[in-house]
Amino acid sequence: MERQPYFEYASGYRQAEPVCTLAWLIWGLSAAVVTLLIRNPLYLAIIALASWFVYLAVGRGSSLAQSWGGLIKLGAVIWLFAVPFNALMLHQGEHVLFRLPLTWPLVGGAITLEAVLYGLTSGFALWVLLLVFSSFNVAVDASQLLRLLPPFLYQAGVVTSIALTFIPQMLVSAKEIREAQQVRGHRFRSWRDFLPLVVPLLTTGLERAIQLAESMESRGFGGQLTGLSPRQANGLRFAMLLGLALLLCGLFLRTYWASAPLVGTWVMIVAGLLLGYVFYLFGRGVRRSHYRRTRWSRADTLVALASAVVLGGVLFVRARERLALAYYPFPPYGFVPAFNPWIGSLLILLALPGFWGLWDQIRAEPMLTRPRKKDVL
Amino acid sequence: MKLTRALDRLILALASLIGIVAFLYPFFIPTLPQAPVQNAAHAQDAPLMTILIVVFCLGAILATQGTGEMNPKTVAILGVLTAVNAVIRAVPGPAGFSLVFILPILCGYVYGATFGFLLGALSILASALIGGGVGPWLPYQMLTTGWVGLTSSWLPDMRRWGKGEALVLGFWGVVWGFVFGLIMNIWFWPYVYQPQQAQIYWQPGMSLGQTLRHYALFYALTSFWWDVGRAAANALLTWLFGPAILKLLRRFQARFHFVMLPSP
Amino acid sequence: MITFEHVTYTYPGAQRPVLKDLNLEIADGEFVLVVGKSGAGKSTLLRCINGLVPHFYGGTISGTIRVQGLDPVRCQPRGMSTTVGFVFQDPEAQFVVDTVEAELAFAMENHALPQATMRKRIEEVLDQLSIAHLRDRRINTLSGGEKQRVAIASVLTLEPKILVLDEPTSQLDPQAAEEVLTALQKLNTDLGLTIVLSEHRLERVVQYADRIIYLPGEGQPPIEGAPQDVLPQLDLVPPLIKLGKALGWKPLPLTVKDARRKALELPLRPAPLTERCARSSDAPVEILVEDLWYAYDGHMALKGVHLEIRRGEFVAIMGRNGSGKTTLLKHLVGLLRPRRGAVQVHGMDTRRVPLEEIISVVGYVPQNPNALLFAETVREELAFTRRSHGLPLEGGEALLEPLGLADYAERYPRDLSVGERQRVSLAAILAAEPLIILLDEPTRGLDYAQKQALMRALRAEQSKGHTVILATHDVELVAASADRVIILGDGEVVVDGSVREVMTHSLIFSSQMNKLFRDDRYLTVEDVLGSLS
Repeated sequence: MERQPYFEYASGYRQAEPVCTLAWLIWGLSAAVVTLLIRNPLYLAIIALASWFVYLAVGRGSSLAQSWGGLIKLGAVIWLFAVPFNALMLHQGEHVLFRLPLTWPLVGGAITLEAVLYGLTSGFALWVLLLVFSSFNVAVDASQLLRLLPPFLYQAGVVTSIALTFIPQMLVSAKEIREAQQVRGHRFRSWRDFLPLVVPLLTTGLERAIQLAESMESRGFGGQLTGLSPRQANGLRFAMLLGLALLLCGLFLRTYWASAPLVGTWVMIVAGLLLGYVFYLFGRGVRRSHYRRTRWSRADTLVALASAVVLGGVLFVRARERLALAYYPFPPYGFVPAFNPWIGSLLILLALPGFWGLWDQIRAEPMLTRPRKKDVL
Repeated sequence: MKLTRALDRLILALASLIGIVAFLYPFFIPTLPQAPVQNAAHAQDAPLMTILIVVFCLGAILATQGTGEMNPKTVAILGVLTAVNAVIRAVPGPAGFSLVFILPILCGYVYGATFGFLLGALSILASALIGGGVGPWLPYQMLTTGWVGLTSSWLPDMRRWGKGEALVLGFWGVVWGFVFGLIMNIWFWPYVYQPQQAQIYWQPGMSLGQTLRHYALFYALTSFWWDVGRAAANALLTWLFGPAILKLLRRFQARFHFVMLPSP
Repeated sequence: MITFEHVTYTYPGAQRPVLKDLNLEIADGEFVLVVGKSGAGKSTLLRCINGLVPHFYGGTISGTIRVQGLDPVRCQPRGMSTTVGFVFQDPEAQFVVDTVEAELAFAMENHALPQATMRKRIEEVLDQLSIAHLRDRRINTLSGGEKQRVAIASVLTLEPKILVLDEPTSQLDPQAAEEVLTALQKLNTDLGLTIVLSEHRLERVVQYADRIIYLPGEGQPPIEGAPQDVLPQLDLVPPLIKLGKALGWKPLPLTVKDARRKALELPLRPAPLTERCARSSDAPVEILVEDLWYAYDGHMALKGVHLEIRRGEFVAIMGRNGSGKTTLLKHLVGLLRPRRGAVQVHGMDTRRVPLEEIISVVGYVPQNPNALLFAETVREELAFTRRSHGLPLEGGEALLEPLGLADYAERYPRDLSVGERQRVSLAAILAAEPLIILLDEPTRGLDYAQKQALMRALRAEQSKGHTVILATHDVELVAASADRVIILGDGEVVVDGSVREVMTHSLIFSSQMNKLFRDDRYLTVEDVLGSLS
């Protein structure tokens, strides 16, 4: 009897995915924005745990798993740097640990506990941000992500798509060229010796690009762009300029108008909405359809919903009570960060995709394995 | 048509200006003559806000530059060169050694501003996607590398200078190597140092100079050596490979008549 | 219906027109083969059909072209894309997206077709080309034949009536070529698509064609007609056709099956077996491979290979794709070191001796000449090799003459045709004066004339006392030139013997003459003609 192939459930991907890419994008955006808004180490710790859980549940089988560590290590390095930097530069606080002579240029003065704690939490915030991004990177597939690019960025999308398609074959070409030149007697010792590798690589790439261009043209690519008349196109551009100008104004207002900070924020929001609308209209002008093979499943709805709730909740808390998400060890506030169990449990929702991944692993048949890449030979 | 071209140029200028302002924003916060609470609020929001601003600017530039005039030849050549650049970026080397500028500079110089900008920005995107390196710095890097390609088209045509051409381009690469490093470190600068947090010790209107000095120290400690490496690598390789690559790029342009995108 | 009337086309910057006053007519549903030497204008002719010439290349065109009533010059390739589908030579350079399904959708997205139509057409096209199992695969993991079929599928999604293919199988091995050509034939017979195909290796495809169009080049008028009528007028044809021509068989048999009856009736005088070149067992052993094992990527590529090759032999290594031919060659030049076992080349053990010393006696011509060529002129390529080996620069020039490249010394190598590039890369390797020459698939994309030139050059090397080892799929070539054949299967040596023995007893690796007569005296047309009483 034919076993129901696993990938049928996960809407036909070459790699069985419990959650589709758009849902992942929503999750990633929500988690990133939330992390950027929060400085409270306890909440950040919850987010970190949620991301790590997602990685364990979903990302381990991915081919990018080894890159996961890279960003984390980078974050750790910056964190380790931030602590002494803050401690030495920031001479503010009550609990002095020790003093350096004031004559020393920048570091002279009191080295306080508050500064150390502040450095610790700032670095931690950055590290958690990188952790969130790492888990996101590992969970999504690059080319699927590219297909989510909005229509107004269509050109950039095609160029990047071609690049992603050509990177593997350029690597293969580079290896071929290196071997061929080596066997010809060329030794790759100094940097000058790489010329016989770079030039054929570029030439082969350009020659292939020409054939690709012929192939694209023969399939009707090009010239279908704007269904907009020149007047409409210019009108949209004016609107874009207006939006950008508003953005700049809003930024300055927000920064320099102390008495009414919200005005600037609202101007920026209006500018953002205007630009968004202009982008949408640009996209509408692109005469091109979009092939969709994905099926939006229940898992995707839940993940998207959960992510939206988390983001909405955090924005709400922020608007109501600024300091709930922040962390100030300096007087008159204390060392111990505040903790609200409601906010904490809200943040736990970020771990939902991980749950779904685990659930799928437990109950389903083995995942569709990725075919092994054939070597040049 | 001409109006569209002019508007595109204006959008590019304005979006770039906003991008620069966004980059420099963290330096302005300590100088604000406000109570620390507001400053602290500004500082905490800065990373998110600046990322969003840069994303919008990038979107505006990518949506308008050369979109009406792209043909399959340009798209295909851009795509393949982006792939080669992304591969080059992965070449390992000592600290900061990043070869990702050579192609944007050379292609921007030969093929024009729009090509150079798109090559720079999209090769960063491509290598991030394929290497799992999507992160909060991506919009900044895309915009900055795009500028590298864009500004390279402003250099005059130095074909007749022979070897001098590669030398000038090499120095140009050195300059950009350092500027790039200076800009790139800004994205995590706010996480490392926020001097205006302490309420009672706040001094009104801490000068810009003081902030910059702190940043200079930060830069010297963190990435100066990386950037020396990056700058040196770019210069060296532009001198070594520049002439051959320029010849190749020009030969291809002549042979296949692909239209150079009109530069803003 | 495709019509050309008085079409003249000149490339930009060229002195003479490539197509001169061309008149042609191709009816609906025909399977047309376009043949001619390199540079005769085949690619140009094909590209006129969908408008790539002149829109992509510039230049000047005059005359009238009508394709299904449309004018390609006016409609431009974009407008012609729903009528004419075009497939190109290099399977690596036709894809925009990285998965098969998305690539199939690309052409339709360009035409803004609705989702439902796209779904339906993708399903149909997957079945038409039998690639439904490849739907979710990443394109860079597919084989060459699969890639070309995906390329054909991606143009078929627009439901064109005409399919034009520019040497689609020249980069493929025989098996993959077979897959692609059978698919094309099916499309022609089942769906009635008009197929216009240019191809060098006539033996693969001549039996499918309804008509052949031969372009003599130099602006001369084309010769067209049924295969049996056109082929006798060509110089360079597959061995079977050559035999038929020489013996005046009418109608000209195109396949072994057609020729078998006539072959059996031939009065052949049994001639004594002549070894083409006496295998002198007193020549020293140049290459000794003992119990060679090698694995990569978790896959065992070579399993216990034993070989002994003496100086001055011309050896052909054959086998399916993936049987280990390239891996073996790389071991012989020292690029790879054996995991188990030993390889001795000219008295040097490759495990101990550095690469520099091995390549001073061994020359390796890689599969892809584009991987070697980077200099500004052919002369500089040779100089580069000589400099890398520490040899004086003067001697290199002498190589160009016997390879027929004397006029090309100042040309930019990448501007040359495929065959010329292949010979330049051979010259670049021979510039180091190696004693052992290894070639990996040197005949991809070459026409008969170029192959003969290559073989002449290699035989000249052999006559100097050098050893030549060739990894190839080209059976006719091996039959005409090699002394010895080694067949690899799944990493092991399956057969190792003289060319006559091996070919006669093999079903696949056998020349057309051999398949026809099943006698080890008859490998080439010369053998047969020489035996006629």
